[in-house]
Amino acid sequence: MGEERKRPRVLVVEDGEEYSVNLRRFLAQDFDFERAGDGEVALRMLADSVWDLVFLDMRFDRAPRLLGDLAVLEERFSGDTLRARRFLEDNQGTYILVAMREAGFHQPVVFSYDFDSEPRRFQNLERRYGPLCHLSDTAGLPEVRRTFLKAMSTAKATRTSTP
Amino acid sequence: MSIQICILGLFASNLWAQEPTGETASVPSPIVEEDPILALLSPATQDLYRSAVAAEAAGELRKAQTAYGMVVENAPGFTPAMLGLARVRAARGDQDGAMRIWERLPGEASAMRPLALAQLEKDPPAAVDTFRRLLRLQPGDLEATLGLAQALCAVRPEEGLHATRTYLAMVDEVDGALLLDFAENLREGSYEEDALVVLEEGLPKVVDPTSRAVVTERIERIRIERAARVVAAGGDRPLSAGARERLDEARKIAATDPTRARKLVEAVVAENDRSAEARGALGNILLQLGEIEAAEVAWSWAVALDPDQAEWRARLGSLLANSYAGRRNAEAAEHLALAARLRPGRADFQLAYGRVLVSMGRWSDAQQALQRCLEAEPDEEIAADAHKILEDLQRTPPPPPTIPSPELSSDPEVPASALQAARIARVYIERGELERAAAELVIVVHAAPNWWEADNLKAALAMRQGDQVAAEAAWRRALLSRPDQPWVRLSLAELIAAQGRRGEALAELQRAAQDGAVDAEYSLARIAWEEGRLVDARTHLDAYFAATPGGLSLEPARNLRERLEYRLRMLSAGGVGLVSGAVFGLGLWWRWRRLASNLERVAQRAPELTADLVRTLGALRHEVLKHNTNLLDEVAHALEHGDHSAIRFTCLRLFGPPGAANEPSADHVFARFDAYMERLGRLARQAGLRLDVRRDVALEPLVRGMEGLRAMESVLRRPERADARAPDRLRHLSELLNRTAYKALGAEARRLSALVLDEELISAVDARVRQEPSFQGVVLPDLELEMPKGRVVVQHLRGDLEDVLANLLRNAANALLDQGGSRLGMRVEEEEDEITGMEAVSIRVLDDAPGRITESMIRGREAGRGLGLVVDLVTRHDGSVTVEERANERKEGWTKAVVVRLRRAEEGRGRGGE
Repeated sequence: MGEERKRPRVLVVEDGEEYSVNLRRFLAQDFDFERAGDGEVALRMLADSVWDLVFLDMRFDRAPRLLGDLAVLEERFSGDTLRARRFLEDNQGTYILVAMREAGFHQPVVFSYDFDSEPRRFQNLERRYGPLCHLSDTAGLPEVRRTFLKAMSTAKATRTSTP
Repeated sequence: MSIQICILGLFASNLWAQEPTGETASVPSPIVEEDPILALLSPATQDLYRSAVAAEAAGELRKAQTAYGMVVENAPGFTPAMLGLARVRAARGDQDGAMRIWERLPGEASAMRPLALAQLEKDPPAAVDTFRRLLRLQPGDLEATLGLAQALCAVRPEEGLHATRTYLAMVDEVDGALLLDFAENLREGSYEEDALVVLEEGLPKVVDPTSRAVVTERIERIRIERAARVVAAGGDRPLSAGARERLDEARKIAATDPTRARKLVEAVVAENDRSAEARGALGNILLQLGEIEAAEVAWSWAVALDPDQAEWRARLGSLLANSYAGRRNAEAAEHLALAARLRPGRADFQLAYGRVLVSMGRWSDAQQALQRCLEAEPDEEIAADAHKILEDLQRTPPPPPTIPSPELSSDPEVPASALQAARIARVYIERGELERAAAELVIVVHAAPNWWEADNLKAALAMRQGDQVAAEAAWRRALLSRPDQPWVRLSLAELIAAQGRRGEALAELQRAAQDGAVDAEYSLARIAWEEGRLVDARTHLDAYFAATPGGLSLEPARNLRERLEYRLRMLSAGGVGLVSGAVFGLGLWWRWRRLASNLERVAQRAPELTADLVRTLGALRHEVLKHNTNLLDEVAHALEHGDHSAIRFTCLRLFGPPGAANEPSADHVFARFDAYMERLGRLARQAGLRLDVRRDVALEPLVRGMEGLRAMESVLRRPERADARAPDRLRHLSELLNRTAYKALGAEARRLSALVLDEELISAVDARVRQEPSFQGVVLPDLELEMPKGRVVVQHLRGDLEDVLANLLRNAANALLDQGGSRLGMRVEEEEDEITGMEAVSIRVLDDAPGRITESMIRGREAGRGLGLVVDLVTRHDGSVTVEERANERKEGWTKAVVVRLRRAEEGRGRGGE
């Protein structure tokens, strides 16, 4: 009668519930999943509890609250609020990532985004805000499982080897 | 000694449990009885106790208090003395002192009752606990039940309704004031619905007429206030300019992309939750999406926020009238009446109101509404509708038709008994009483064995019985006896056609049409359409519409005509002449083949559609594939291991519930897939092309995979019947959809919007600008171009980028000519966005003219001066435009720059190679 193995805790940050429903449905035996619906909630949950991994969506077009300075983006898009907001929605995942790191949360992050087609962009983000992995939107669940475990073990190894 | 007294006290408590009486003000004194237990106290204490009781009975409260106090001091556990002391203290106004004593007797009902009553006023939460303890000691105690209900209504209204109902169930009569008190407490606790329930349920038990009237009035008042609460007076907040812009965009795309439009509007509503306009717009889109209840909520909000806005009210009214089969006509009429009063000039409101009134049988009111509709100078269609309804309303119902007597029969050879039996049989058939009809039919046949109508009746009966063979035989006999029955022939033809005997059916239909059955023309048109004989179909439809203004086939005939005309337009587009039969057919075929195209050709033919194409490809990736098809491997695994719940989960997501396939509002994956494919087809048609998805490299894997998946629906719905190969088929489809199709779509989207920005392109634009008439004969300085090393690829359309660069160069050249200056430059650099990691390409168009340039020139009204187009074309591709004063670069000689930043396109692993 050994002690029950403690499952890694994964914070799923997404504006919908598609990922969390799927992950809970199919990977619940390996991980404990909790969902945060937007960046603010995610930061609060990160502060309130211990997490092993953050699974992060990129596009947040259903979240009422977005992180990021809309005014700055309006300036960038010649005062076009609509486009500024859309930009914020389309790239909200990176804004959440930056806010996480700035707040001192250094858990490995797995992005659900097809960076295969934007390798330079991924390298830029990884360089600044790693540890970072990514999964294509259509990754099968075995691949998701492997990536989660790999991301956690890599991060752990990095922490251990850091003096 | 003290222990003994304590035990005595416990026993004694039972003696004092009965209801006390006496003269004291608030708490009655006990009946003084001598009891053997009293004898256990010391004689002196016994005397003291007796004197206390006597003093209390005599109303000498101070004396009684002193005596009880001494007894308690001598025998602290003697409960009757404690109760007496508390009673006297309470009577003397020392409620707190009394309560302190009662609280020392927690198991004593006689103490708990006055304590709870006192707490009810001073400390209601404590009263709740005390009444509950009392009820545990004395279940069903009416006074305690009432007290508990009162206390709960005051402090825990969420439990008040139940407690009050318990009390009301125990009594036959209830005091009106008490009822109102309950209700008031519940309302104060924001449980208004519960308050209403209490009043409504209690009202029949209020006997006093005056109280009844008061309670009735209160009920009515609460109802009115409840209705008034949804009128959020002054609640509407105007939209910000940004929100309005988004709302406008949503409206623009609502027809083509309602799902996206909905998201946009929902975001606006989330930020502007007190905007009637936003709520109203949301209602529009929700209704368009078929979400009736959600649309109703949205419009109810809009009406509440802006009660004077007639539009939302009218839409809400129409929705209620049209979506609840008449069950909510009264509410609908209220809204429509008010909308019509608010905007008396809106003929459509009056018409809608009139229609509801007609449905409600309020003919006279309906007539008035329709008259007002006509007075409001409606457009032609509304006027026609209103006139039609008015005519119907004004028509005097004719007297019931006279049943023709047998003598009036057109066939004198038919005996009267046969005619009568035929009529009765017809009635029985109509009523579904087929056995009785058959019995009457026997009489008919017996009386007139060769009468054609008997065969018609037999056919009708057979059809009701589901016997098509007998029906066909009977109709044929009837037509043999009397061939000029076109409608009978039409029925026969349709029966034959339904059995797949098209050749025979066509012959009968043609004969029926010749004989005057107009609907036969429609049937002929439909068959011609199905067989691809489009010209024949049109001829028959023309004949149909020429012959009848109405009929059962009218609506389907109209639909068919629309589809037919569309198909013909598509085929004839581009000048293929419809000259003659054979040439026409061949020409159409060639045209049809030639128009078949892929996405690339669509984008080439109509570059303005590229953004929509790219967006739709993105939607296919994210809303059809993504979260959905990546479950297929798991489903295969689940099939192998008999985990049917996992399969059902996926099945529901992919196909929706059983029968959902044809639901127009369905949101399952296949519904989305069909919708997006239809959108791509529509975009191609806008470009005058026909999208051949099987010839398109990007779409073909998706279509093939989805078709394969669709073919597996029955297997996934009934996994227990799946064969051994099903898991492998699913894995194959998973690979096809999640790898091949997903990447092909992504590659195509990038390819469509990727452009190499090189010296050649810029030089070509520069040359084009210099050749423009306004620069003829003028010497412009050479363009000083700085480019980074390596290939620069941007996400932009070639034509758009050329226009952007041309505009900027033109502006700079004009500045040089107007203000003086000698240098014109362009600097291309690569940048990185720190937050998103995205790389951008900045293009600075520089000059050294002394004139200034400001941010205002790229936004607002100023943007019209040549830069408006630039801003539009750049931001359309998620780029940005800024201006820079180059004072710090004086050493370089530039005075200003317009900076265009475009998304740098990453050159992935290429089309199909990812």
